[in-house]
Amino acid sequence: MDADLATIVAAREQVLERLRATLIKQLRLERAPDELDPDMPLFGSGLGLDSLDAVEIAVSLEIEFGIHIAEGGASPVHLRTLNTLATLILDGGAVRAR
Amino acid sequence: MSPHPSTIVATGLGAVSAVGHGCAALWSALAAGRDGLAPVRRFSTEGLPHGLAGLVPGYDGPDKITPERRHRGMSIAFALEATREAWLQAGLDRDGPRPERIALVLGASVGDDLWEPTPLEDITRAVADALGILGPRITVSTACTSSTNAIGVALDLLASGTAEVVIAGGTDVLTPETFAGFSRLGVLSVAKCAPFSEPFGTTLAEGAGFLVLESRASATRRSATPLAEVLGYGLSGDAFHETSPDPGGAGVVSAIEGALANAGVTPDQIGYVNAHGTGTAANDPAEWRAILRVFGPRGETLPVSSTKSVIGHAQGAAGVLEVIATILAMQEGCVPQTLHFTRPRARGPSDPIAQAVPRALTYSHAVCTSSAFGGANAAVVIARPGTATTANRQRREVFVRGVGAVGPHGRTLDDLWRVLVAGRPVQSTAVAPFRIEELLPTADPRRLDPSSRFLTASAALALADARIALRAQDCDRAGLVVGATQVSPESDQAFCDSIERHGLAQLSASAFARMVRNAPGGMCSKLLALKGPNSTLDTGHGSGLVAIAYAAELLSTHDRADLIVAGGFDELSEGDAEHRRGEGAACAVLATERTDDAIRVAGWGLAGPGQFADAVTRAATRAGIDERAIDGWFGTLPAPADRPRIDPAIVLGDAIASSAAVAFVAAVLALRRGEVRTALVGTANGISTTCAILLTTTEHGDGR
Repeated sequence: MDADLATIVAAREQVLERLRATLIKQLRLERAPDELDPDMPLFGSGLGLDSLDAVEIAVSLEIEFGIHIAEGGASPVHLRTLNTLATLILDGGAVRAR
Repeated sequence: MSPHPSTIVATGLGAVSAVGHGCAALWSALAAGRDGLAPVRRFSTEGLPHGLAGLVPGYDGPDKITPERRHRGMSIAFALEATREAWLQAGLDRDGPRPERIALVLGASVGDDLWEPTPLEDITRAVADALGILGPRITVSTACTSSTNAIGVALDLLASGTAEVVIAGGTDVLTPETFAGFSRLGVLSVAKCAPFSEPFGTTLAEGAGFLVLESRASATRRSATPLAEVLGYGLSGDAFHETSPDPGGAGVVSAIEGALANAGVTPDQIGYVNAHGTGTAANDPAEWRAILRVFGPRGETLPVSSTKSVIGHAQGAAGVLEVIATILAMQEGCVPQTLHFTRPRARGPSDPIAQAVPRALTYSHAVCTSSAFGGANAAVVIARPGTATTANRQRREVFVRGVGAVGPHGRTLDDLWRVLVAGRPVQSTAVAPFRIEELLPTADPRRLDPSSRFLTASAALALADARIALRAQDCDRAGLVVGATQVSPESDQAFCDSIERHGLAQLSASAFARMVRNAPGGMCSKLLALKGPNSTLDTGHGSGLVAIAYAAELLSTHDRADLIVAGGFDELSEGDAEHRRGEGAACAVLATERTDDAIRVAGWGLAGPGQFADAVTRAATRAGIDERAIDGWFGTLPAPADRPRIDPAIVLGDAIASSAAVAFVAAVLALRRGEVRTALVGTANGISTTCAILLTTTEHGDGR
């Protein structure tokens, strides 16, 4: 059980690490990876991203993770934080595996 | 009362659009309720969820584009066709003023090619040469408000006596990259665009539209028939976002109110609004809010429709094509419809003319509005011929309150003066790296390419030099006018890289947003909260000085703005430095409020290519200054051989748009230091537009 949990946590950490690197590069964020808290809001009062960034994130998800999200931006729920993006990616991966 | 002789009238119209060639084709499509929107065949839309557009018939097949994605020459072809139609209708082939008294103001956003942008000025020059126009040749590039703004510039050229006849309008081509960029931003419609209805999204298009504009007196003299009066225009900047409109519609309100004030018309006189009405989820509700704010309860019943449902969104040509559609409808005693309207969405016009064909309606005045990337808004007021009975032009004085420049010299005015007076060419013409946060701690540097950084820094320095900190209530009355001749090479590179790496379908949306010529102006106005008149223009060499002259004209005649920051910027691309090209930016803060230490912008004048002496005479006449009183010469201009001249292009490298604006800054510094009393700043451009500005200390000529 603990081993399973560790695997899940490790998978999430790995996705988060890739996400951080991708967003820092694509959005030209002047931040170190460890400055990007997984639960920090990406938009508005958090990281301060906007609608153009949302499009860039959608493109990055397609290119880096093969995740296609609806035109006009993904559901705001998925784009809320790094963790919600990670969930989307992990779920998307699970869907594709089936 | 009889019509006023100085009222500006349109005596010729020309249109090329998705529904065909000529105004007759445009009107017959409107009258029949037929749109020009169809699946794109000219280029591949593979991988994109959208495929509809309004391409010009005859140019819509796959043979019109090369494998290298080039379709060079189409924007010129569209413009030539439309200008010739307007030219002939106005009878300029039979009887017109001297070529030097005819100006061309051409609006274009993208031109032929977004993959490898070429100077938009080339389009304007080609059209002017073909028509034999030898007056000022001005390109306006404020993305999708370009041609609306161009009509406004034409009104000012006529009112100031700079030209007797102006051909004004715009032309644009739908490139694969533009299509993909809009698609990626999620603002295209999956069906034919249905403004104020569903589904959300716009349909892109292309084409050209031009008006022949002149005073009623000139039309009478030439026996040309006035088709409509063009009474006034207004500009504004959202200062909100690169691609999204201010949801409150404040920028559109400001543009419409500015247009009404400039036209001398009250909201009650307006019988119809031809809206920008793109159909997107962001534009339409914002625009409707703005209309309600301007027209109050009357707005609830005011007919508001969008011609984009018929011809699509023709980008830089959209505004003028919609003005032409409005004039044609007005002539027929009706208002154009909004096609494809199925059911109303929330927050839309109560009367969108939701029907298949135009509706019969008698009205005297209409407003046409446009909005664009970079937050630029423009509105024009037109009226049936014979409506206006009074002239509405009072001139205000204009002063320079502050100046700023960023360049190879550094960022301080003392350094600039030292380098210019020493007169030795600098070793490197590049701007030393700096962070914008040093000047504007709140600025997010992520999307600031060097062009935006240089412009914003010089504008911020000029405001600081003027000791002006804008309060929120002043922002609406503070504008920005920019001379720009290029897309930022850095952003262009980022845009092309993203396409080469991942394909059109996955291009960088933020780089795409920076591919419009007014992107740095939009960014600068956002960072400095300049919400007043916002414009970007291109006259090649000297654009920054022409921008300053335009700002002076706006302040002097548009009483809804009190302050305009104006200037130009340049950014080096690879290899430029070897050709002694320069980079940087320079801005001046012009204002109508006089302070003790202010410099007076005594006079300014524009003239056609190679006619610098005419520009100087015009400036001197306006200033009431004898040309012999000039004791300082600044810029690339002829000066008496025995007199010193400061030409920043020689010292700092030839920066196409900004060298002349740096010359303006240098003139202000020379006046402040008491080195000269009457300064002439000029650009003696041999192919586009010459410009002369006379500056004096405020003591000088105060007895007049």
